Amino acid sequence: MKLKLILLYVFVILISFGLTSFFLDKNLEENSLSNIQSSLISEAYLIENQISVESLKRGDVFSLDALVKILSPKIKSRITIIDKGGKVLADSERSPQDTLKMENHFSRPEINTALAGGKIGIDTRFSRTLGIDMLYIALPIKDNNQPLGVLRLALPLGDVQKTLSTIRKIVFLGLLLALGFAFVLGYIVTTRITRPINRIIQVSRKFSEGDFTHRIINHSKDEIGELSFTLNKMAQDLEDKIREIRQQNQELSAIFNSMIEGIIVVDKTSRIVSVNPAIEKIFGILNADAQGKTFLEAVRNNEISEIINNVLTQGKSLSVEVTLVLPGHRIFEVNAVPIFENDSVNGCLVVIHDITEIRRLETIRRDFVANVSHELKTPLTSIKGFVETLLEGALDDKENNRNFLKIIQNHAERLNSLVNDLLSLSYLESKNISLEINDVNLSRVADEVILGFGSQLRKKRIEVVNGLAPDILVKADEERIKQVFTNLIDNALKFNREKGAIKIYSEEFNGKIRVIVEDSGIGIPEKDIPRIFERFYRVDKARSRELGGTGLGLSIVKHIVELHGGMVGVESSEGSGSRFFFTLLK
Amino acid sequence: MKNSTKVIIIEDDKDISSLIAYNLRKAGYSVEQVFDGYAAAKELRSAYFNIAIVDIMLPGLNGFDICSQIKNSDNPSRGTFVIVVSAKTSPQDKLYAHIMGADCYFAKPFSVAILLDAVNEVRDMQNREFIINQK
Ligand SMILES: Nc1ncnc2c1ncn2[C@@H]1O[C@H](COP(=O)(O)OP(=O)(O)OP(=O)(O)O)[C@@H](O)[C@H]1O
Ligand SMILES: [Mg+2]
Repeated sequence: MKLKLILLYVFVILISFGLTSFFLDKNLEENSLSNIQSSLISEAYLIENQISVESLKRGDVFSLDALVKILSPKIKSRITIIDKGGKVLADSERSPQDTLKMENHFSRPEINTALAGGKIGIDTRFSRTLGIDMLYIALPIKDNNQPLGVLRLALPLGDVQKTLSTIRKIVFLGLLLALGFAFVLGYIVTTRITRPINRIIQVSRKFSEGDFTHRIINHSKDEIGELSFTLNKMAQDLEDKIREIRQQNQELSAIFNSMIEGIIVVDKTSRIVSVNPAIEKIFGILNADAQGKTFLEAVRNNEISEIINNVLTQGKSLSVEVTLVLPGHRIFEVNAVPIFENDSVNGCLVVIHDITEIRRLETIRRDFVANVSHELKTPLTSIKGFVETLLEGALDDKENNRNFLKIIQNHAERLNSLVNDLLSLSYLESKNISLEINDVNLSRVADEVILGFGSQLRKKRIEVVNGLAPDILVKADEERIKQVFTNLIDNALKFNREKGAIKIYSEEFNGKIRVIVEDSGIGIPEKDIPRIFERFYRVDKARSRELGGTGLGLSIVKHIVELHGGMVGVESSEGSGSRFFFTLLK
Repeated sequence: MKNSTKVIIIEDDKDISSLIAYNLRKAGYSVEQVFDGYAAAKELRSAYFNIAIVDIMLPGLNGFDICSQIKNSDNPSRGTFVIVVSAKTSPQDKLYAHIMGADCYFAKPFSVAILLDAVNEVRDMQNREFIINQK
């Protein structure tokens, strides 16, 4: 590029210089020749005047010779006088003797022109006599228009040629100088042009490699400046775009990796492109292992594989609930969406949502509602039925009417306590519950509760021992703790035998207070222990109901204790009693 | 006004059971009461009842099991008319009860008078069939 530019420069210079010097040279040569000619001609006229016609007519060789010998050095030219026959009469370069021996000059072009045409003859010729280029001027000498002879002046052209060659030398030198100058100038100019271009090339090569940190520094107002500006702007835009895309990618992959939902991307041949960590956990596979395998190879789940195939062939999204048995019993909602590219299905995105917990909670809720309605309807049935029976005539049945009213009263009470328990539960389960935490004397609270059970205890002849140290204080909500004791003592009483015993005591446990309510009752079968704290769960429904229980007591206890940051538990052996305990903070 | 129709009440809630029993006895039926699924199954195997009034949520065998036992076995109670009385009121439960062999379904809380009407009607129907069979 650079070289090309310089050569172009040199070429232009060469052409223009060459042309100039060619014409100059030609002109100079012609000019100087005609100058010399005309001065020679005017000299010839001057000399002609001094030649006496007489001596020419006579052929007076000596006087003519003397004349040419005198004049020749003055005009620095050779002078020759020739008669009309072509015979040389005098020559400034020869002695008179030699002159006579010279050959006839009539045939020389200039002489011929002068003698035959009566005009001035001019010729440039290599003189064999002198061995150099000579300029000849032949002037006819006339007498009354009768040619008498010819006066010839000859000038060696050596001087003219010398002058010309000097001029040529100068021109040539000038040319060399100009070329050198052109070269240097061309070099400077081209470097000035190519340097920014090279810089642009360098930087844009970096751009193409994805490195946008460089900028082209060129503030000139020309095309290159504009090009640099455009390239810089393009780089900036690209850099911004790339940064944006990278950021979006990072966000996407962060979402992809942190989503709880499992995500599988497969191509149109059902080969796995990528799975996220959630999938790795659900199916116990690794993304690295799964990639490139078909879904069925990697996961071995026919149902989901079928869904994917359906989506791939039909191009419609599907949402199916799938139950997985291995590695554990889980329920998934599988959403499969086709990925389109140019209107054809190019893959499938599968989102797998573990809804086991949702389903479990739904079941619990449904069961709860069913339980509540059952527990409400049972006493209602009795109330409604016995009221109807009494109204239909049993009022007069002296044997039974009081009994029926008692049953009605019982169930009304049961309904009331059920509603209270439900309210308690829903309050305890609501998020905005606030506990009134104070220092609570456990022993005193237990005593108060026991006092409330007085008549029932006496009836069943059960002895209660409050073994709680009178100085134990816990951080708790007193009303709630009372509820805990009430439920536990109620159970210990209800599920006890005649003349049984109830013991309440505490022990330090990991810096917490552990309160134990122990009874000597029927105990709880081992299989029922894990479920005993569930709502409505009763070991023996009939018996519990007879005793007025709905199965909410222990779940209320559990809620309250857990709200206090403690935990509940039970140890029991069927037939010999149970030991319920809960922990509280000191 | 005694009649020979025998009714078995299979209900774990003692008060509801005695409510039904009291009213049926007053109407002249001979009534048997059992309070859990196993006792019911045993009773049904050993004797014939014209009508069974069955609760669904029972300890031991549940009401559905009792229904299917009554209808499918070759024990004496095969022709028993089954009236389900339950607090379960969802359409699925009702349908399931019918599939298992219930002939009619009462949701708790029910009206004693209507239950009694139903029982009387069943008795009349069975009596008519009995007379036709005799002829
Ligand atoms: N001290 C105990 N001894 C034996 N069984 C018990 C004892 N405490 C609880 N249970 C069993 O656990 C079940 C659930 O107890 P929970 O207190 O929740 O209900 P409930 O006592 O039946 O009714 P509620 O307390 O709502 O009146 C009881 O029905 C009973 O079968
Ligand atoms: Mg209780």
